[in-house]
Amino acid sequence: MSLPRPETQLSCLSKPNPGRSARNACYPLLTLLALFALSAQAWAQTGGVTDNDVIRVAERMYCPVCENIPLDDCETIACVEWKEEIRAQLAAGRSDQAVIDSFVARFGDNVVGVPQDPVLRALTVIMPLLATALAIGVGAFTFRRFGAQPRLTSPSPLGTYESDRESSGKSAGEMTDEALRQRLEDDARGRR
Amino acid sequence: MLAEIGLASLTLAFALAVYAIAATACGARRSSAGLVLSGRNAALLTFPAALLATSALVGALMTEQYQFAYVYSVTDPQTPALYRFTALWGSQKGSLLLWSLLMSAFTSAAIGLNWRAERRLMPYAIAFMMATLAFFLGLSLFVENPFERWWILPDAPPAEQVVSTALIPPGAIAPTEANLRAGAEGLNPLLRHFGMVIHPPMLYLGFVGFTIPFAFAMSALASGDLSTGWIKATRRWSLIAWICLSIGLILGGRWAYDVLGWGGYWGWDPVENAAFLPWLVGTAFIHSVMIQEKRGMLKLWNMALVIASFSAVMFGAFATRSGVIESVHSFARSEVGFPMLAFWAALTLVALAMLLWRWRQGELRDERQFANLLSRESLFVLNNVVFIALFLAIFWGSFGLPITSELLLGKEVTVGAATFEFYVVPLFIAMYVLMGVAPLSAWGATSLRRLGAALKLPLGLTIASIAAIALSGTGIAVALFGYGVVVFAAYVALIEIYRGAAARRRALGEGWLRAVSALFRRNQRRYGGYIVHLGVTVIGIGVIASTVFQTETQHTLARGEAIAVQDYALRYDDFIRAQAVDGRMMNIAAVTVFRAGGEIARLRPRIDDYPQLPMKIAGAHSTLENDFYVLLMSGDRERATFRIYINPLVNLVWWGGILLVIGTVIAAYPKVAPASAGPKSEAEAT
Repeated sequence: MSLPRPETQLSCLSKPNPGRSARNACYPLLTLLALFALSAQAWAQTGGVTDNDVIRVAERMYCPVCENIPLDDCETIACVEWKEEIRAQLAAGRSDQAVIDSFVARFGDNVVGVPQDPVLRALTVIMPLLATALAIGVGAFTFRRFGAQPRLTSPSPLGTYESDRESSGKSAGEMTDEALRQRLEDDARGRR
Repeated sequence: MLAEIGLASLTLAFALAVYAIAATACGARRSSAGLVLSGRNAALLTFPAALLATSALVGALMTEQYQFAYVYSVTDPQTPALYRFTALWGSQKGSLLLWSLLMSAFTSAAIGLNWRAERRLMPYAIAFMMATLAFFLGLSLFVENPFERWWILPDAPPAEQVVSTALIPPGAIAPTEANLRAGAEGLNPLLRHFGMVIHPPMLYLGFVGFTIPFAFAMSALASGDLSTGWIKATRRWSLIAWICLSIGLILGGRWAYDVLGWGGYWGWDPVENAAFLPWLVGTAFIHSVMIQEKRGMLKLWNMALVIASFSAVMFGAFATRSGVIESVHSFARSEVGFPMLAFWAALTLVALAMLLWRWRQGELRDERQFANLLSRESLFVLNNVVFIALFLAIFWGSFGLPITSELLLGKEVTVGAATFEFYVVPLFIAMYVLMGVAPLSAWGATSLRRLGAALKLPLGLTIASIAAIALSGTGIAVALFGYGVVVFAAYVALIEIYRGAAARRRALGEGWLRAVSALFRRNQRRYGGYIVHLGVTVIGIGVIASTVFQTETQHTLARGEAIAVQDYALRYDDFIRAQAVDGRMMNIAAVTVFRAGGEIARLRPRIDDYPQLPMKIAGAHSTLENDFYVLLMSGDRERATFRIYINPLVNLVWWGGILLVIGTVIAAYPKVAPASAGPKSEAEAT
C-alpha cells in the first residue's frame, strides 16, 4: 500500500510552525495516517504478523551462533532464518511461549536467557539468594567480631582526621548550627 | 629491525622483572639494603623496556609492516592512521603488551611516590608487582608474541611452508610485500569507533591499578607491618584504579549504544560483567577502607576485599581471554587459558593463605568495638554486604552457572538480562537506600530517633518529588518506586553539601560560591564522595527511565512514507549507496524526524558493509529529554526497514558518569596542606 509523496502527505509537518491551533489540527491527521500506514504494513506481512510481533518473541531468545547476543539484535544467517520461522509459527496461530518452547525443544536451553531445565532454573534462582545470605552472614560475622573484641585504649593513629561527627556522635541532620559552626571554624583555622 | 628491537626489549623487560622479584624478596629476607635497591632499580627499568617494545609494535602498525603477523591480522592498507594506532589493543597479543606497559608504568609511579614514605613495605610490594608484570610479559614473550613474523620455508612440505615465528627459521625467506598487503585482514569493524580509542586503555588502567593496593596489602601481610601504612600508601591508587575502571565501563556502555545497534548500553554480557565485578569489589573497598582509617576497624575485611578485587581482575582477564565464556572447550583450545587460570588460582590461594595466617596470629584485630547497628560503620558494613552479594550473584550468573552446567550436566546455557535483572534490582535498591541513609548516620553511635530526625527532610522532599512525578502522568508504580529510592539518595547528598556551605556562611560570612568552594577544598574526600553519589543517582534515573519507558518498534516504509511513533513521526526520504575513504561500502538511509508539527532532525542511519560483518550505525536525535534512535535494518531505494527506539532520559547515564568522574577527581586530588596546619592536617595531606 503506497502513500502519497511526503510533500502531500506531511505538508502540515514540513511547513514552518504556524502556531498552536495549526499544530493541534495536524495531530489527528498525522495519527490517522500513521495508524493507516501501520495497519496496511502489518497486513502486508505474513498472515498479519508484524515485525514488532517477531521482535517481541525474538528479544526473549538468543543467537544460536554468537555468544550472548539476543536474537532480535543479531543478523547472522541463522538468526534471520529463525526470525522467519518465528513469523511463520506466529502466523500459524502459536502463542509466544509455544514458539519459544519449540526452539528450546530442538536446540536446547541456550536459546533462551532463562534456563528451562528445572535443576538449572532452581540453581539460577537459589544461588544468588545463597550468595546474598552468604554476604549477610559475613556481615553478621563482622558485627559479632566487633562486639567480641576488647576496646583498645589508644585510638587509631588516623582515627580522627577529617572527622565530622565522630567526636560528638551526632549526625548532621540533628547537629545544631552552633556545633556545625564550631566544627567548621575549627576546620577553617587548620586546627583539626 | 623493529621486530628485533621489540623482541629484545620485551626479553629485557621480562628478565628485569624476574630479577626484581628475586632481588627484592631476598633483600627483604636478608635485610640487605643493597639487594633491595638493586631490585627497585630493575623494577624501574621495566618501564622503559616495555615502552620500547610497545613503541616497536606501534611503529610496525603505523608503517604498515605486514610481515608482522599481528599487523597483518589487525590492519590493512585502508585502515586510517587513528585506527592503526588503536589496533595496538585490537587483538590479544597487542593488548597483552599494552597491559604490561601500563603495569610497568603504574609500578614505576608507585615506587617513585611511595619509596621514601613506605620503605618497610616497598621490597615485598615491588616483588608482588613484578610477579604480576613478569607473568604478563612472559605471556607476551612465550605464548602470544606480538613480534612474530611471516616466513616462507621453501624446503618444507607445501602445507607447512608458511609459518609465523618470532625468530627467523633457518633457510626462511620473507613473503612479498604485495602478497602481504593484499591478504591483510583489517581491524575488527566493532573496534572502529572513537570510543575504542579510550575505552580499552581505561579498563586496562583500572585493572592494573588494582594490582598496586594488592601488592601493598600482600607486602603488609608478608612483612607483618599491618598498621595503616599500606592503606595510606594505596588509598589514592585505589581511587585512581576505580575511576579508570568507571570511565572504562561508561565508555564501554556508550560504545555499545553507538556501535552495537540494539538501542541499549548494558546487556549483562559476560565480558561486560567481567569488568563490572572488580568495580563492585573496588567500590566496597573504597568505602570500607574509611572505617579502618577512622575507626581502626575492618582490617581483616579490607585485606579480603583487596585480595578479592585483584582476584576479580585476574579472573576477568582469564575469562575474557581464554574463551571459557564461549565454552569450556574453547578454553581447552586456548593457549593462554591454562597459564592464566594457574596464575589466578595460585596468587589468590597464596594471598588467602597469608591472610589466614596473620588472622590466626591475631594480628588483624580491630581497635574499636562495634557500637550499634545504626552507626555509620555498621551501615558501611551493610553497604559492603550489598556489593559483595551483587558480586557473587553476577559472578554466578556470568560464569558459575554456565560453567557448572556445561561441566556437570553437559548443557550449554545462556543467562540473559532478564535473569540478571531478577536478582540485581533488589540489591541495587538496597544500595541506593544505604547511599541515602549512611551519610546521615554518625561514626560510633546513632540512635533511631536521631537518625529518624535527620531523615525527615530528605524523605519529605522525596515524597514531594514522587507526587510531582506521578501528577505529571508517570503512573507505573515500579518506576515511581525506583525514582523515589534514587532521588532520596540524591537529596541526602545535596542537603549535606547545603548544610556545610550554610554553616560556613554563618560562621565566616562567606558567599555561597566561596563557601561551597572552601567546603570542597577543606574536605575533598567527603564532598567529592557526595558528588560521586550524585553522579550515581543521575545514572540511576537515566537507567530507570530508559529501561521502563523505552519504546521499540520496527516498520518497513516505502520512499516518501511516514510512520508515527508516540508524538514523533519519521519519514523515509531517500537511499544512498556510497564508498567511504577506507573502502567500505555504506548503505545510507535519509530520514526526517518530525515532532509537534515541525521538522526536528534529518538523520542518516546506515549499514556499513565490512568483509567480516555488516555494521548498523544508528542515527540519533539526542536531547536531555530522550533519544530518538533509528536503525536501518535493510533496504533499497524503494523500501527500507527501520527499527526505532525512543529512549527517555538515556543521556542522564552519560551525564551521571561525568559527574561521577568529577567527584572522584575531587576526592582523589592531592591536597596541599595549609601552612598553619597541625599534625592531623599534615597526616591528611600525605
